[in-house]
Amino acid sequence: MVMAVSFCAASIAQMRPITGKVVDKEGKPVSGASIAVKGHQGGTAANADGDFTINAKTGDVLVISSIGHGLKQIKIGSQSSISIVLDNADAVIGEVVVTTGFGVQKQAKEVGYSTATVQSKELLVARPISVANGLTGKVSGLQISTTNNGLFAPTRITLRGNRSLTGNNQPLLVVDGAIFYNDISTISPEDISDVTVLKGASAAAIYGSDASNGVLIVTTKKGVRGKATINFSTTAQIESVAYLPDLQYEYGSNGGEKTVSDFNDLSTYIPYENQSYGPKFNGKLVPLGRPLADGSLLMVPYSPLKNEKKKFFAPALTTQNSFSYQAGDDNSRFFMSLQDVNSKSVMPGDFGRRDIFRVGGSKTAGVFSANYSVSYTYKLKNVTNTATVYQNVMNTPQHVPLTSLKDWQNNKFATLDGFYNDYFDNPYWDIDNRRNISKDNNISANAQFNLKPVKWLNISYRLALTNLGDRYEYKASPQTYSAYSRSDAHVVYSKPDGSGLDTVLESAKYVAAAAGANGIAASYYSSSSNNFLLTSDLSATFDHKLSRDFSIKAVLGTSYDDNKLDATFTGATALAVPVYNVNNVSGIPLKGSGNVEARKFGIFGDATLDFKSYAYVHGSYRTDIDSRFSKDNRLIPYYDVDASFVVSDAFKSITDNNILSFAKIRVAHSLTGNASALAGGSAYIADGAYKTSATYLPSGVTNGGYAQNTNLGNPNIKPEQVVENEVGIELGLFKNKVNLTASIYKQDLTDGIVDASTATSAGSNTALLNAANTTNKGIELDLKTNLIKTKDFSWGYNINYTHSQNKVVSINGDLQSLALSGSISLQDQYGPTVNQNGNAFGEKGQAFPVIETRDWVRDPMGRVVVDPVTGNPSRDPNLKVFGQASPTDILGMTTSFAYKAFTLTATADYRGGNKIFNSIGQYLDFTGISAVTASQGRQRFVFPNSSYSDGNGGYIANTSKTTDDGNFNFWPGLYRSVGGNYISSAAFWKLREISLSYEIPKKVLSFTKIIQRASFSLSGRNLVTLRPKSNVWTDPEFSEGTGNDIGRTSENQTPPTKIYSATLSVTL
Amino acid sequence: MYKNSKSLFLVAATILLLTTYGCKKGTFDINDTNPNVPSTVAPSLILPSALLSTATIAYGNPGGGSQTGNDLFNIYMGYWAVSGDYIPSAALLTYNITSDFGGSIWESAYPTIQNLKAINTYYAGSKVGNNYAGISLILQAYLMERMVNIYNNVPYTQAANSGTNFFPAYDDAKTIYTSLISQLDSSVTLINSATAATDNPGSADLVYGGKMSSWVAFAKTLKLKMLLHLTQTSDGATYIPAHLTGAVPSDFIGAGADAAVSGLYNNGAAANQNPLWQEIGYTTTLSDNGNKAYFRACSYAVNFYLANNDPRASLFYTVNTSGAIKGRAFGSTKLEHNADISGLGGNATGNPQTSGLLQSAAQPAVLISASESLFLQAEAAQRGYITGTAATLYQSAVAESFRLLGVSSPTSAAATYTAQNSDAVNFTTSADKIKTIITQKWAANNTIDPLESWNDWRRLGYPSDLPISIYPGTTATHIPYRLLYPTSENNYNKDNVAKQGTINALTSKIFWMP
Repeated sequence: MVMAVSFCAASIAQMRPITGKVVDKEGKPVSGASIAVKGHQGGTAANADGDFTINAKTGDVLVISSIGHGLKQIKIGSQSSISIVLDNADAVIGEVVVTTGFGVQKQAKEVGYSTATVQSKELLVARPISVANGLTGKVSGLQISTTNNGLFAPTRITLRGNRSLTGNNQPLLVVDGAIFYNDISTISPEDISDVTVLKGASAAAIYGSDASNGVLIVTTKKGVRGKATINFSTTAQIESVAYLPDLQYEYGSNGGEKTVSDFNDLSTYIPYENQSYGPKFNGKLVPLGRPLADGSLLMVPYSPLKNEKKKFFAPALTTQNSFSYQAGDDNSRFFMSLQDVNSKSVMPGDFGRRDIFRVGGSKTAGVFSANYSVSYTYKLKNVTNTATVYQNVMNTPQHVPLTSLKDWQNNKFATLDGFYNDYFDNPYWDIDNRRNISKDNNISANAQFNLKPVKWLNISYRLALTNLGDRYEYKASPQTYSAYSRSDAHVVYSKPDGSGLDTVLESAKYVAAAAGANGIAASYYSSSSNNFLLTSDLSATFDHKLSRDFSIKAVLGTSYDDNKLDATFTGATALAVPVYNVNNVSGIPLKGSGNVEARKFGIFGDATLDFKSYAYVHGSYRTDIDSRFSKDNRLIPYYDVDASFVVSDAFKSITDNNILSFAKIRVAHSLTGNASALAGGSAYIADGAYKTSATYLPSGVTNGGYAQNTNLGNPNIKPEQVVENEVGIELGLFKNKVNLTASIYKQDLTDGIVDASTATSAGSNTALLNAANTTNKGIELDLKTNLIKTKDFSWGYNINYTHSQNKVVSINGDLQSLALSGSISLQDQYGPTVNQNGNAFGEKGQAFPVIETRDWVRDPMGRVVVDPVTGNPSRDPNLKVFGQASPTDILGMTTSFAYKAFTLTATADYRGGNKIFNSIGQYLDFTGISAVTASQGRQRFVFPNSSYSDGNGGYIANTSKTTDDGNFNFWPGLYRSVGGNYISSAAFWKLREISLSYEIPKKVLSFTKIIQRASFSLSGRNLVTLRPKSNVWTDPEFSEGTGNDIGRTSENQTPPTKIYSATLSVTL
Repeated sequence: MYKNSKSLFLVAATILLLTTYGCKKGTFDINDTNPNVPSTVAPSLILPSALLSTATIAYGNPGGGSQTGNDLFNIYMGYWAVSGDYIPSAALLTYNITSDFGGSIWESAYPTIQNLKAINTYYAGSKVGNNYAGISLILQAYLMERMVNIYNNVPYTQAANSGTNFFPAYDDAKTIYTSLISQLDSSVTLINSATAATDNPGSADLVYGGKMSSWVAFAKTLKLKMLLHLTQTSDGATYIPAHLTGAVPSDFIGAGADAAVSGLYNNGAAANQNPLWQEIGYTTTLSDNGNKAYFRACSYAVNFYLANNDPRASLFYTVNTSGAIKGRAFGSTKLEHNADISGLGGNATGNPQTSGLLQSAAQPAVLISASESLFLQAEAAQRGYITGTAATLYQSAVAESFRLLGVSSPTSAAATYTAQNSDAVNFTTSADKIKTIITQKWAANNTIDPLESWNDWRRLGYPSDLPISIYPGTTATHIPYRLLYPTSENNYNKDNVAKQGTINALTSKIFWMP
């Protein structure tokens, strides 16, 4: 003690003022950085420009730290001014900045729930068009699925899996502090400064009745102080088909024409057929299609064209050009950007364009400050009927030279009349004549005003307006066929023995006859919707030191949301003339319109009590007045209580080793709501409550007046409630070179809103009830490493792992199951629907959704039971649960390797534990183009792993009883009628992103005088996908839509693709 | 405490709202009513849709699929067979009835009853609407009567209750019948006491255009039909005449007065087509509709018509490619293509026809044909329940069937037909007149009211030589007696279904069966 005092006295004697400036790696000033002299009490903070003055003496060590940056220690020499560069990458776990609910910024160590932040750089690795793609695989608990590979592919985002059976399970999206009701894909990834992921409900509790799914907080760029910079980047991206379903290349066309009872000795090749149940390819010239009116006949070699389908889906080029300008001075910041994406898809003729313009900035004047951002997004999609074209192409017999029939206008074998196929038109005709055009015009404006009258108080008002205008049109050209095509005609066949050609008079070309003499009229459909959203909130933030040990940070506020949706559609199946306007509709047009609105007012409070900067208790509370609920159900409190304890700060001694450098434990408990199950056009709009009203009979059909709605609403509906409990631990090891975060959570949903099916004898089909309970639990692990860091070389990797499991506890009392989606109908050959389902269900006692469909009848050993006489298996009439649709295990890995100017970054991920229903399978089996239909040589066969009854309740392994057919009478009918044949494991490994970038050395650039930075990168997305052998169809990440009924791919999705890009980025 | 904090909150919230956002009272009450649809509608706008769905239930294939009620009845009663061009459904062909069979009949009936009840609810207050209320009761009875004939005990008193009870209990079938008969009496009283033309449904009445005396006849005919179902019950002999006191043929639907839904059917859209046309007819562009090719002529009915020189053969069925009318045995596994087997609906080829079962997409959907009414009267007269001459009524019934199908000069053609020397046609010479009446009723109700044919077979055993399926593995010795409660009912009302005990479609009987 004495020693210390004397040392202190001595040092005062030699003190002198040192001035300095703290900047980050990019040269931006670090305002608020704290500067202290090691071993001394007190210290100072850098001002907005990063400047500071502190008294110190030669030999002292300055300790500089700042939220979001590392800690730096610098020994003072004889200088009087000093420049300090803080390293971003050295960020210490616990000190990174986290933007929490309502824009409150905190150090990570203060936070009692699980969060993760993804920086701009990480988002842009493979230059994704949508932010969602850039987040995939990078954060535990965050699952992002691209639902198909179409243009501007939609994504489904979930945090901690699914809780709600029928409501929205996707997180709230908050952009610059305001709830953003639009799709994340309308934001340019280049405009984003960072994305903070608040994983659990606890973090989101402050958002009240729509808060149970976590939050993605997006902060856009607002400009930086200093010299104005201009950034320009351009990316060229090639997308190509990665793989197709497994197909057969052995057999050509026959679809059961020339009916015979036994198809096993089938030898007739049918030149106009789309099914491939014909003879083996033999390389001889055969006729394709019918002879044309002029007598000409297309002859093709009867041998498979292995690359024809891939050639059809040709590689597509997408370009992205981005421009941004940012500047700033002492009191203002400015950011402006423009991005233009011109996109093409592997589906020929599909194209789209997205333009985003954004302006943002801030201005400070004394106690006032304001910031703003305005963005405008235009998105155009012009696509064909993917389903029709994809199915048609996939099912084209392998010997058909499809890509040579592209010119349907001039090539006589490619016209509607001349195209070989009797049952489907030339897909190139479809592409050019059936277009879906959607145009979105979205404007978002966000302004925030702050008043900081005293140091500890900040009053802030924010207004955010969004207008989403969507317009959709469908145009289909008329289809007419010549009289020749519509009348009976001669068809030329190759004789089965190869001895020449046969001419047979047959009925008319099917599509032509079906279209009739007048053909099929042009059709047109148009719809438009407008969604206007207003959010307005007022909040006061207090930051006060109560005593030496205690300080408090608190927010009190109110928030108001108004959400209006108007939509109309008109359309028809027939236009009098092909001029695409509803004025030309003949007959009764389809029509519809609707408008819905919802309003919500919330009062919230949020407080964090800080004890000695190592123990934190945080609580938040909110109550909403939500117009979607009756007066009695409006005031439901939502809250969160969490605590964080930084063990390594409380007990510094435990870090006195080279292993542990940081340790924190946290716990959180919350109650949040979810009312999205009431949603109409937008997840936040009321619609469900209306359902009871009588409805006018469907437009376009007989105007028979009104019928009672058989889907009953419920005026007493309440929000779903989710109670979440979470504990977590965060560790920094080996001088924070390795950071480990682990969380365990459990969520219990009660009062789940379901449209429960009712007995129709009650007069209704469904009723809206608060009647489902679910649980959802999981663990999340994040390992971040920064193993090597030298001047020239650095290497680190991040691994994240999530295990989660949800369960349906109950649905409306003892109700066993709830269908989450409409059914996919599988059909017996040409016959009526047999109500086969490949459905997503919520099933009591099981995970949800589960995939249910029908299976073969099986014996107790699981073998397929065949009829001892026919050798045929049979379909079990009962639905069977095949497995859950959401993955139980998700693993993501990112590694980054830098050497001098080169950086190599890669992200790979795994998902597994789930099943998927592949609807395309049944279409491929119908036509016999799939590999499985050729697996038995088209002969009668012993059904694999089968048995038959011994007549006494036992089963005998089947080694000799062959099916009664192995060709046309088996695969498209019996085999295809069993949905279980199209279910496979949905597990996969993907090399999600890989990128190599090269930063052009400053020395080179210095010659140019104006270029400050320039980099060039090459990247790839989804270059490698590994699937289990059982999945012979498509990408198991796909699903039919972005709803809860995951676990089904449809036949309407283009094949999986991989993307290569090259980017040049220049900063002036 | 909670109350207090709630009111405190409300005060605080109100102050904040008023000061910050200028919100007014009612700001958050915007979702109380739907801005897009009316919350109540007048009966004149409910009745047409209820009539259309009633016709669809009676006729078509509500919900689609090949195992729905009306299709099943046509198959079981020997009118239709299953095409040889399709992979057969063994369950259908072996009478292996599951709860999937016919479910859509059930699932359409109750929501329609719910719609009809909305009419009665509308008049529950001070509004006067005896005509609408009466029609609604008649149609509810029409639908419930069908339900009992198919399923025996069904939910009735607690059914279609606007969401007040999702688990309606099942009522005893016989009690339902008794109740429906008195409901029909009340409907007649209601209509007869209607004040004036003020509540006349006019054009909203797609059956009679507001001619209320016809609805009275409809109610009485339906009552007669129900009473005759009771002929084989132990107390039928006393109960039936007691409820037909003073009944005369003019009380009932008479010649030329088919009770049929019409006026709104057209070929403009698939959903606008007559329900039977939609099921076994043609699309708006005149290609085959759903089950046109799947169901074909059954050889049993074809042989009956041909053996009796019946001009209706070519009106119920099409000719095959060789110009002949040829049926297929039900359950046959023989390789017979559709080109060889007659189709359904008569020789209409899609264009409006003047004769046949299928005449146009806009043709009326018959709920009770004049022919059926006359056959009912013939039986009642023959049994002495009503006054009138059975022979005359029978003759008129056959002639009405001929007329409905478009036989030219139906009266004389019918006279020629019934003069043939066969008990199947000739009432006068028939040894068993009830059998002749029921046989001809069966011949007339082909595809028009196959459920009533099934009722008659289950009640009286006619046609007595009705064949069963010849599909391999068929063990049944007769056609089914009833359907099973549908899957939806087993799933969502299972406790009440369980109370009905074990039900076997081949052995469990409807209460009125002998």
